[in-house]
Amino acid sequence: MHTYIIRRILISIPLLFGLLTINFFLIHAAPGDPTDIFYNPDMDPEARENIRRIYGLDQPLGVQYLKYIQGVVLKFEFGYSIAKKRPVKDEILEALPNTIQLSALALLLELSLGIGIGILAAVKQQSTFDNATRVTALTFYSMPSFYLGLVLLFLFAGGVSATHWFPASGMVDIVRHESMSTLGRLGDRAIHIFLPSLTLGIGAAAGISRYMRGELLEVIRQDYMRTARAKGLTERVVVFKHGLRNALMPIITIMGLSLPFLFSGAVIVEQVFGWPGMGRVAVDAAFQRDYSMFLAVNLIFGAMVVVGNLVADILYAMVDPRVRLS
Amino acid sequence: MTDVMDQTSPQIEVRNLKTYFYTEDGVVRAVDGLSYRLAKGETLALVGESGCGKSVSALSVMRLIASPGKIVEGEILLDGLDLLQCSETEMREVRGNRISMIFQEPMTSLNPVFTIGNQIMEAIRVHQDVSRKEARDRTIAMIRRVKISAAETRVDEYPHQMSGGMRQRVMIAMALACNPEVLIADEPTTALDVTIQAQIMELLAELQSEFQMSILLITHNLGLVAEVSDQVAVMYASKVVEHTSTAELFASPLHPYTHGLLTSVPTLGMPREQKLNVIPGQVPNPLHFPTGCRFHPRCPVAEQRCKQEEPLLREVKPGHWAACHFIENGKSPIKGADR
Amino acid sequence: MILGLFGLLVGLAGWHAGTLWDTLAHTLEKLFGANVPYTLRDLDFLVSTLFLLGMLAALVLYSGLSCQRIRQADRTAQGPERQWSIVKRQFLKNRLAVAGALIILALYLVAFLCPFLAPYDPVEQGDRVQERLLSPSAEHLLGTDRFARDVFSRIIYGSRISLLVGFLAMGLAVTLGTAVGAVAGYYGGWVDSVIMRFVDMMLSFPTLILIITVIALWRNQSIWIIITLIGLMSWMGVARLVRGQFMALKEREFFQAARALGAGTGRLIFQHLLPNSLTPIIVSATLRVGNTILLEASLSYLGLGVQPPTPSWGNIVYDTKGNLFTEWWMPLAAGMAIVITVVGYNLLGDGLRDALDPRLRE
Ligand SMILES: Nc1ncnc2c1ncn2[C@@H]1O[C@H](COP(=O)(O)OP(=O)(O)OP(=O)(O)O)[C@@H](O)[C@H]1O
Ligand code: SF4
Ligand SMILES: [Mg+2]
Repeated sequence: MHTYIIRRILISIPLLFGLLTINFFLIHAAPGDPTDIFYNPDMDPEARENIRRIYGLDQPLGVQYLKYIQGVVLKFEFGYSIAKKRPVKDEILEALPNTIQLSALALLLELSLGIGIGILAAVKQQSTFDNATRVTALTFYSMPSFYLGLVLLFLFAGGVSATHWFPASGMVDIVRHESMSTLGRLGDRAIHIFLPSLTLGIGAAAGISRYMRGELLEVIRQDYMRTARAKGLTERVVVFKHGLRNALMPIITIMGLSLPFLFSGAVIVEQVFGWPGMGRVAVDAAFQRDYSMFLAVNLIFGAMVVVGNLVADILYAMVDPRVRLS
Repeated sequence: MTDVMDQTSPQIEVRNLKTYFYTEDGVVRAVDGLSYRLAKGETLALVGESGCGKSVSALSVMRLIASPGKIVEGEILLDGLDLLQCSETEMREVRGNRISMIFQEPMTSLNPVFTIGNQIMEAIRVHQDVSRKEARDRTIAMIRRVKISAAETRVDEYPHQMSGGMRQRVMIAMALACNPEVLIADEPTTALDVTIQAQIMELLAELQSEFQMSILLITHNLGLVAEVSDQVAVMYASKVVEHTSTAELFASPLHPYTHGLLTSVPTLGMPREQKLNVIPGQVPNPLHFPTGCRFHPRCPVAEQRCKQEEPLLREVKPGHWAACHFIENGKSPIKGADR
Repeated sequence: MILGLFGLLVGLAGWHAGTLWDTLAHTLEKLFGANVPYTLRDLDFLVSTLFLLGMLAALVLYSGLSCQRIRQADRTAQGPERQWSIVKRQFLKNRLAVAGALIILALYLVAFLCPFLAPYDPVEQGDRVQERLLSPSAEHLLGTDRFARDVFSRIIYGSRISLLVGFLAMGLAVTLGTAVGAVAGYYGGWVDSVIMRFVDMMLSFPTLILIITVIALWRNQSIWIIITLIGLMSWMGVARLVRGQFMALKEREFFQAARALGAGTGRLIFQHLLPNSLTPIIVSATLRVGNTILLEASLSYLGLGVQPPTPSWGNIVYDTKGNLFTEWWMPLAAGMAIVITVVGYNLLGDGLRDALDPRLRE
């Protein structure tokens, strides 16, 4: 078990470096230059060189690469954002917690909704409930997250005045937040995060419930379930003790694998609800051609996925004796 | 089969059992009018070709037939109690307590995420009100009883840490944990290699006398039948076609199908030049059984009557039941069958 | 044979960008004159779709033929005729799956017949003062947008982008994934380890953000670049699937027998392993189309996809999302079109899987 975990961690390290390397060279291979935004046609070449020197762009690519690694590993520094005129790190540190907050809440929703509905659908296979949830899940699963977001916005944040319950954007009420009591502030945050996390969570939950149903139906067919029934256990114990434990294990892995989709979804949802997170940073960077910001965003999302998968694998090893004891 | 077969009342008697699967392709009559009886403390072997309904009949006795299957008719009497009239709650009291079952596939019949001790203890604790500690002690004793060494450490191991033979022993320990009256063993050794097979059968025989239980042994292996069973029921196409004591069956098989079955396996001391008899034709499809006697398309002595009229299982000789129109005066229609 | 198909598929993106296509299209234009209802762009779509459909038919034919050959080697396998008739029956019995197939068929028809179905030109702007932001009416079923363009017509034309992206990006992803998975599965050992580590790494990228990066930095938002990028970022699942399939098939008797008889690598892969893996590949390809369509829509929604005035459902939503609280029908209808399409593909994929997966067949 310990060797397994250690090996698994060791595998993650080259993965992270690969991620960094590919991103670094991909972004530096792009045509143009981060300093392009300063240029105008009649700028004299010397001034250009000066600007390039200030940002270290005159050095050979290899040197820039090594320096970058050094900065990231030792100081969590990602360079300077020319477009935002501040260190990338500051921008990230501001946005990252917001994205994590949103994603974590969405993950919670995804798991509780997805697993719960999946189990019910599997246990009541072929019932009206099962058929209804299957079609519903398929629809949500097939829905772009921005569409779900817009529908929710329309229904509950302004389009229909009778049900205008939630704010349309932001994390807090910009005007009144400061003057609220602690409880009031908490409530303010809650109503702001509700729709975005719901949007992100429902889409993901639809996928998980499909998997959960499938896994549980697969497990219910297994021989050991028959053995459990033959012992005289009640159907509830058979399904929830013997079945669920086995069916949940693959879900852990699927969870880990679904993280990139969750983060991709977060980018969109942040855009829809004006949520000041990493997704917004990424899209801003796209329109401003902010090279160093891109590199940082890609790296951080990649790292979160790698770490998420690592955690999922370790969790899996803890619940599956076949891995734990080998 | 309604007559009393021997003086003591049977441990299990199955009468005219019908279990059908309502599939999209039609009704699969997996068990269709099955009758047999298993006397107390004895072993009844249920033999027949693959797909003839042996496993489904065993699962029917446990009432473990899942949708789309359904027991549509019949009686299953456990010491006089009709299991088909029991509620699901009453039935749970029977499963694992009065009737236990072990399965063909030891590799997949144990839950991979629980220790074997946990799984055996579970069987004890559903039926008996004992403390964890006591249940664990009895589990260890049980593991020792099925001859697994180092029971104290083995009890905390997981199925994947054990070999197939070992797992089948665990299955036996689990099945016998509550000292059942009947053990149904569905091809308990098919998945194991030959030496392990012998050990497991020996163990079962030992435990049978120790626990005073009746065994319903489902098997393909006629050698095994000859060795361990007291009575034999031969199944063909979802029904019993012949039912008698093992000695009688091997000495004078009366049903043409049984005759075919017995001559299709080589026996010791059989002249080398004698050809092995292969029953021609196909195992009938339980979706559409042949009319009349279901064996008629393959029977060497079939006549017109066999196509129209279904033969009933009747006592053709004292203590010898068979379902064939042409068994007269305890003589098989096939010459030389009853030596 | 299949190598050729692969080559064709891979070369498709480049082929479109290339001059070959342009000359062909210009010739066609000269031949038919300017009064054909189809514009150059229409023909572009038409030809590439026909090409892809033809290729799919060729694949199915090829797999059928190969299965027949395999059957002779592997007695335990069911014959293709019987197999196909069961599959067909299972599929047709699944009403949802049939509905999915019909949705897709209808969408293709709409995409082909755009010029006849759309009441207005999708890019032509009307009178900006009087015809701007009209409410739905008999003339403009879904009203007009802020450039006074008919939204209904734009949505009809938008189907082309989604269908094209869905099909081509999936085709690229499946081809790449099959090739990579085949190499990993066939050779195993360290080749497999290296490839699978790479796949793991690719799976750690949040696809959308990487695509945004490339599009933004290369300043190129052509539909072909988007298709290529989506394809390049979506092959990993197929690679894993094919690898697993190959690994399992390598243990089977017919494969061992063929190898023992001295069949070469090419023969083993293309005649024994690949044809037997086609079923799951086709199922996963169908299920993947929906994802690629969603990805393109998301890019367009961010304003980083297909550029206006060319209509795509995603960029119609992007264009009109500012009107959500007033002219809500515009963004919601365009989004609904995406949902219907993806639901159609997913129903079709689910139906195919249920029909083709013998484990689920009772
Ligand atoms: N769940 C089910 N649905 C439909 N048909 C079934 C089902 N289970 C069993 N059957 C059918 O019932 C018949 C009897 O099956 P059963 O498993 O009892 O055979 P068996 O005699 O135990 O064979 P074997 O020796 O191979 O174990 C078979 O034809 C089988 O196809
Ligand atoms: S009844 Fe007829 S067909 Fe059936 S076993 Fe007897 S002789 Fe053969
Ligand atoms: Mg069986």
